[in-house]
Amino acid sequence: MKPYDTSRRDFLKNSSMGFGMLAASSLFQKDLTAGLLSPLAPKAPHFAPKAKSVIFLYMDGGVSQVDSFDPKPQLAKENGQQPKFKVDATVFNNNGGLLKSPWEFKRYGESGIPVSDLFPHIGSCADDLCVIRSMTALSPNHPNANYAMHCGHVLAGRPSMGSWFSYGLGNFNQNLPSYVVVNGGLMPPGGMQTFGNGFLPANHQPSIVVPRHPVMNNIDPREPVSELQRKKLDYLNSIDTEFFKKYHHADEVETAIENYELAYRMQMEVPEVTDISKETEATKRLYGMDSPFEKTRQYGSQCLIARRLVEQGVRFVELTVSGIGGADRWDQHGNLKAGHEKNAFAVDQPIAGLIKDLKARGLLDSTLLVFTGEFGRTPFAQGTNGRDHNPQGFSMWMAGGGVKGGTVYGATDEYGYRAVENIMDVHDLHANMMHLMGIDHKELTYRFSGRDVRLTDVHGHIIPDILA
Amino acid sequence: MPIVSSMHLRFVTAFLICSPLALLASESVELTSEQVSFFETNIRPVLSESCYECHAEDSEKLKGGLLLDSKAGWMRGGDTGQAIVPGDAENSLLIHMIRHEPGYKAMPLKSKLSDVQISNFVTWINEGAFDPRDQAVGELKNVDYFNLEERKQWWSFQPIVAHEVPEINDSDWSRNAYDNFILAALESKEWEPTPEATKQALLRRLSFDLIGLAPTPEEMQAFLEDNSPDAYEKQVDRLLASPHFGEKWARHWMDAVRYGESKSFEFDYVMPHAHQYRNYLIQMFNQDVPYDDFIRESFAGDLLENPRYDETGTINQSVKGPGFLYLTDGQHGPPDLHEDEARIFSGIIDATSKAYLGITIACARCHDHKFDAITTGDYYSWYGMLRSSRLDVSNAVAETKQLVPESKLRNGKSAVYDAAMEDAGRDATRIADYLAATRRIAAHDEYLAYTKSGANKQARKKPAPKLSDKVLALVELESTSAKLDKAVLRSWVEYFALKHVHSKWPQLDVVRQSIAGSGEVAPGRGKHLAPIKTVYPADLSQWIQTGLAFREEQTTTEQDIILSVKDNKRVVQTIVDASQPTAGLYSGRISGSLRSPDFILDGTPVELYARGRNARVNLIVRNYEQAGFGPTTKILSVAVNGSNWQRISIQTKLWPGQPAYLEVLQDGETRRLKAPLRSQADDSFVSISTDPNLPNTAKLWSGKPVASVIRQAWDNARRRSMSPEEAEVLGAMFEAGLIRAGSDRSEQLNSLMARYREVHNEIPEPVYTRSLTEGTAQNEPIYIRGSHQNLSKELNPRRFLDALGGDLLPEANSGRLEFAEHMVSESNPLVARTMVNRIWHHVFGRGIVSSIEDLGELGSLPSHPELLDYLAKDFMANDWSVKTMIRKMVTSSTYRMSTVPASEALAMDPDNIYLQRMPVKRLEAEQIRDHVLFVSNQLNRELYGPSVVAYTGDLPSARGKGKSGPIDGESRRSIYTQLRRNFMPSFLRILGMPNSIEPIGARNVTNVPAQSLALMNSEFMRKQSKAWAEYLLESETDDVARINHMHQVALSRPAEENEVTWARDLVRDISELYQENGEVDQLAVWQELCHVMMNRKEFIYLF
Repeated sequence: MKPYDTSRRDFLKNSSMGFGMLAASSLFQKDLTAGLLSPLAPKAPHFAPKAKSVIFLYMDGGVSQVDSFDPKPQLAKENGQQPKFKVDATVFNNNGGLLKSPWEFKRYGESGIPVSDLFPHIGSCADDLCVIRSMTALSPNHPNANYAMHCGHVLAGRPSMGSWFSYGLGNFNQNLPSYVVVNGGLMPPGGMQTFGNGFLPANHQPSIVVPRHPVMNNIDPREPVSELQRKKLDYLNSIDTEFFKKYHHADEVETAIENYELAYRMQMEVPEVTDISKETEATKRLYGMDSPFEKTRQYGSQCLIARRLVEQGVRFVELTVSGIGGADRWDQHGNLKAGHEKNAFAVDQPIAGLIKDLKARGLLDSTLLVFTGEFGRTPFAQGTNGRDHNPQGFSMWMAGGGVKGGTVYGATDEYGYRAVENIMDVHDLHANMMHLMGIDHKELTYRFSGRDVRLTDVHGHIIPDILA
Repeated sequence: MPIVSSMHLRFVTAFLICSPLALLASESVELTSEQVSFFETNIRPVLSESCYECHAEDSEKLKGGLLLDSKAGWMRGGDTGQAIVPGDAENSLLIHMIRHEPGYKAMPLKSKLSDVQISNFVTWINEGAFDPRDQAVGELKNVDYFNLEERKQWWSFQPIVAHEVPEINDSDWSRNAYDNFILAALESKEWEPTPEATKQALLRRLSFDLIGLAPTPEEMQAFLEDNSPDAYEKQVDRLLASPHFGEKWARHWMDAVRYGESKSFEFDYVMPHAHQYRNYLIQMFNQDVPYDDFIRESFAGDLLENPRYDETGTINQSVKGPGFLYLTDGQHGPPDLHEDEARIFSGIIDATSKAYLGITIACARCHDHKFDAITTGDYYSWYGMLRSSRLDVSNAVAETKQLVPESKLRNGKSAVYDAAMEDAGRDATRIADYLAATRRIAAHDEYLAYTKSGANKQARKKPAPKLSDKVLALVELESTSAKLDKAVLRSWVEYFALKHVHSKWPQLDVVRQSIAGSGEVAPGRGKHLAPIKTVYPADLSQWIQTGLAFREEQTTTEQDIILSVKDNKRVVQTIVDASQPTAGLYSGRISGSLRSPDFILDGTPVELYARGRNARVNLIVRNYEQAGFGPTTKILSVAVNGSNWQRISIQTKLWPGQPAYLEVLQDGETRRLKAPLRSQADDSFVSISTDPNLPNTAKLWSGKPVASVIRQAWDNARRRSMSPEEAEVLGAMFEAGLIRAGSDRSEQLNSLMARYREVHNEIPEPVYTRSLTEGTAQNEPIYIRGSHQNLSKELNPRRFLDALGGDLLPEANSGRLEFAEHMVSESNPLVARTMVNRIWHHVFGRGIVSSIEDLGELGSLPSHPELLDYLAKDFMANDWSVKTMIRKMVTSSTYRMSTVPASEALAMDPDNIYLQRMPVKRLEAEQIRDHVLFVSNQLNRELYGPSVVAYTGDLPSARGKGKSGPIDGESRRSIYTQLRRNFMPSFLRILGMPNSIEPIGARNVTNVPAQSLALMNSEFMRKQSKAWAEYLLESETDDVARINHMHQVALSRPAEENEVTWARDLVRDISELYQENGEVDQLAVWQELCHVMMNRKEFIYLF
């Protein structure tokens, strides 16, 4: 039986009128609520964390590793030739010869990490990046790989990592959701289950924010006259408090009353936090918001919103990309050059801006950035000018939040097809993300279905080489 | 020696006894110093560095059951047998793996050993794998020790005990035996039960608990005025009899079996007919079908000798029972169908075992259960049962209803046959004239101009090319002058001119040649479809039928016509050779399927001839339900929509070695996921042939004039003595429209068809429902460590749970029916305990075992174990009646208590485990939404029906999202909302409705600001508060009356004085606010009050 929570109850009894009356005065501070009633109150991590928040930059569709962070001169040498290595069946099975990268690679920064011309701005942050070239995916199909990358499992229905972080760590700011998806316009194949809370309580559902009005479902009051909502809530509060006096044992009623005040403040704070109009022109330019390309401006605003959210204590922010004209996310089965170029152009400057801005504000150390697709792309062509899905080796990077900057970890074979050295999978990625956030991935469990379920299931290794 | 499991034991002993290596191992060989040095320098460090993490006795997690940290360890081998064969590196699994050879698991996982290291291992093994590490293998601490007898001692596996009803001090308090158990526990703690709730609180609670809706003010009034001693019991009986009862309780069961209506993944395809299962549940609870019968229906509803029908005797309810099993997710193109089957079956077994048995059998997929008395054999027994069964979309219309007019149909059709042939004679006797007329048209300048343009040749173009208006005018002229049927002549010209038409009828090629040529003597050609190769059992008598459609005894003649009841002008669709399996001889409404036995694919195409309308041939590989049309799997489903034979050839090179079966569906649209379902086509039919060669019509034509051949065929048809070849040709003539039978030109045919249609329409339209049917009975191997690529050699006999006797199921069939009987047998303590606990949970807010779906070791312990057994016994003694159990629970004194706790109980038992009071309950998501509709007077109380498309306008766009439904969901109760797994209705999800993927026994009760935001700001709430205000302003004139009414519907009680003041103040303040901002709009003001009312905590909490 769970021990009787005296401290909390005593507090309420001592305040003689219970929480409802406090709420009625509607003037109490954020820190008073913290740890008291909210299920999202910050929780102690298992050990001292390096990072406090995560920004997950999801490159939906799958970025080509050999065109971005994993240069393969061998492809240029054998361009057009049939692969000499064994090729696994691909999704479309319409494979051509080896395809050299249409982009040049340059070495950047002191670390000299090579980055292709797709990402000159991100390249300029090379010394902050920990590039992992030996990532592997659990499935060659979009939805399964999306689920795996988010939930550690190739099937729908499991909690996404944002929900796990929310569940494990709560939120610093009770006026904001703990887990926000800033939606660029397209949900990844697999839909909302990609971000779902699965069997974790509804408190850990994602809040979907969009960089336009209204920023979030149900966030705008619908009352036609301003002040009206506050008036109504005051009335509501007074009658609910009355009611609660009769049933002062009912904790849940107390919480529900309090939730209205939290919701009210969320209503104020979410639009406020997501309002980037107050940012300086210089900051906006940093994020590419003066770009001639609309998608760059949009992703810039998503990145800016992400920064503002973590600044306010939100635990987990994920950005999704938008469809780029004819090209479908990063999923360039054909027209690799045009598609990747547009996709990269949309995110390159905003992401670099985010890194630089976080750094300038002293937030990079406590914010973990993760840049990855659900899998990579084949080093040989699909048709003549595209690349098919490649789960057996691809690149991703992490930055900030306690990762070792200026590092390259792992390697693929000479064609960039299979990871061969220091192979990592999604469970390893999740384990390390949790580790940086102060969570022991083996300890954070939820009893479901007769098992203590973990994000990393029975897998996951901490990799000291990538940790600062 | 540790006993890993009986399986492993057999393996280990076999190895030790039979292997010559075992002898080798027992010999103690002295190693040379070179050998020791080689091992210590080249082998041990690599093993230690790269392998011990997962393959040592102290590994945190031993992988593959293989130890590499001792000689005895690797000598024993792992799950897949020997990894090292001393002296034979090339036959050592370990070498293949460290070389990362294709087809082997690459080891070590994280990186590849260097070439030098690998060659050292080759040398080491080839030289005998000398190994100085001679310590014995210890107990395998990583492999759990499993002893069934010990595990069975767990309380929930123990027989249910008939406990005495406990003695209590305060016998006045107790109303029934259940109360005694509760009170006895309280008295032992010296706690008193809390006093009874008010009548108002009680009826509100009861009404929500039983039907999920609040009492109407009238119902409340009646109850308050009823002072009879059984006033409360009368309310209980009223609510139990309400049709809304099923809507409330079906929803609980839908949670338990993860009810959902779409396949999730990339496109979230909607599953056809899923809603039938929901409606079935509602009906089942309403009828209070005994729970043991429900279980029989759940597992074997398709097999019952005496199925349960609805009240009109029309619909077979039982057949819908297994409908939940395949309500799984599904990928549209899984790379590995066996893996996909294993995954889907695991989900089915998981949902089923939790829902019915309160145990987690899916945990035994990879190994014997870690905690409970569940063996891997239990898991693969269920797997085998599912493998021996098949998903079926059955017509639930009672067979007797489909057959009742059969003799009338038979006679009617026979008469129609004669009249139709009579009428067809008008054309069949004038073939020469049609040939001549067509030739004349074909020689005409207008026709030549038309064909020169090439418009007639683009067979693949869509829409298909048509005759030009000018050619049609020629047809008109010619038919008048030659006194020919205009429609028929048009068909002749179309047949001659249009490639996409004549290419369909190779057996009529001579007809076309005859038109083109000058004479009437056909050259005797008549090429036909290429022969098929059958890699499956081609003897159709061994195929498995469901439904009535393919019954052989339907036919009266060898060759028969397929009628159209829809098309007056073409009463005969075609002629079939009834020696081939044919469905639709009387009507598409008499439906069914035909399925081959399982066979193993050899990678070559699976071929079959088929013809029909709205029909479909599916190749089902590994029970894969075609989820949409994925890149690799779309070829598995072939539409049959043409009366002429179609040669179906399904490529299987992706699946060699996999078991499969062919499925012929007469109304194939029923199993199609992606397209919206068409309304049932009465004219659907299908005919198949596995004969490698279809009848060769060439000999029929040979050297004879076309007109006489056709006339002869028609003549024989009239006399019902067609040859199969004649049937082929004449059928094609009908289908191509070159002859016809039409009600429009034969009065006799017209009246006979009218009569036939009347009889036909007495057959109810099919009610398609997802169910199961029998397949090829088989046992499944054990999947070692859950891997479908690592199968045990011996098959796992299908049997009931080992811990409950392990009785074998029949070999000859799936064994589902027998399994169901074991489930409900008195010797199975789990089923009754699980169900009464579930009911208790929904009535009292917390199960006696709080983990509803897990009565095993990881679940919680019962708070009142004796009561649980008493309830279970009582349940069985009362004929497994759910309503009786609920009735007893809600009429107890325990249920009637108020929610106000005594202080000592609150302090000692804050979770109220001992039920010193009734718990405060928050309404469930669906109840909140329904209550909002109820108070706003919008609730549509219509029962059953198809699902209402959910409102998804507030969800981000994504693949497969489709159109949003209306915000108010047509004001239907929430249970009728369509549940698409990738697009769950956000209002309900926020309030805690499960995600339709995981089976849930007890929902999380959550309390988050997002819920407040939804209730404050959602469009739905805004609309409903407006509707409520409109209703109030219309129905009541006086403010106080309105305020009172509001409280009565929303909170089931009149407003208290201070609430009247409160509400009036609110109206006043808000009016003022409006005034400051312009006009006061009464409706707007009251809408705000209504909105506040719906946000009151009392609105969503039960006290």
